[in-house]
Amino acid sequence: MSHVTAIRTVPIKDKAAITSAVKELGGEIIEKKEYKWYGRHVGDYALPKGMKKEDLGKCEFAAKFPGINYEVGFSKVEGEEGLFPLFDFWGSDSSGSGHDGKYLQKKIGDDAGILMQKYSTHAAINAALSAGYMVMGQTTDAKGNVHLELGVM
Amino acid sequence: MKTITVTIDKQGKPTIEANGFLNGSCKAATKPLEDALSGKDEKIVTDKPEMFIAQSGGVADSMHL
Repeated sequence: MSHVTAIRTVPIKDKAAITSAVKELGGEIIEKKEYKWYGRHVGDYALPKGMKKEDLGKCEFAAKFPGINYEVGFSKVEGEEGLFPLFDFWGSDSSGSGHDGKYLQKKIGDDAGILMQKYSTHAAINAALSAGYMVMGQTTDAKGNVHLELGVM
Repeated sequence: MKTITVTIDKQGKPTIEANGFLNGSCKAATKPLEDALSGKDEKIVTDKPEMFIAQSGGVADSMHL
């Protein structure tokens, strides 16, 4: 036994992994520079760390889920590596064409947790395989944590 | 066998645990995963006592901090 590394913030650096994560949730990656949201910051919540008002709605690419109008944007954040998921959780219009952020939030989780757990799993597997490690198993415990067991020769 | 366990919580935050490595070689083994999953200064590394045991079974003469 050797050491334990706990990572507190996961930036998106592996596009194949986020594409797989979005697909697992039934969505698709769309190459676009603006994601769908309410359209303006009304000031009811603090801006995400490292972002300015004018950054909202802009992205490097986006994720779209069937039946949901609002989208997830994957955006650069000042001073950080990689991309971070941004989405608007306002609105519960069920028509699929209006303000339906609550449905998007339900799909990807609070703070995009469901999506990011899937992303981290795919990114870890991709990194392990690139390093020549063997993926020996993947399990999910009762608390919902994913465990990957990797063999190192 | 040397193994690495990656535990990913419900917010997507991973914890990477190296098992069965001796003499500090674990740091190099987990680096590809840490590089893929972490951003700037977002890692907390906790060494386990076993990391300082040399391959021969003795105590390593320099500690990897």
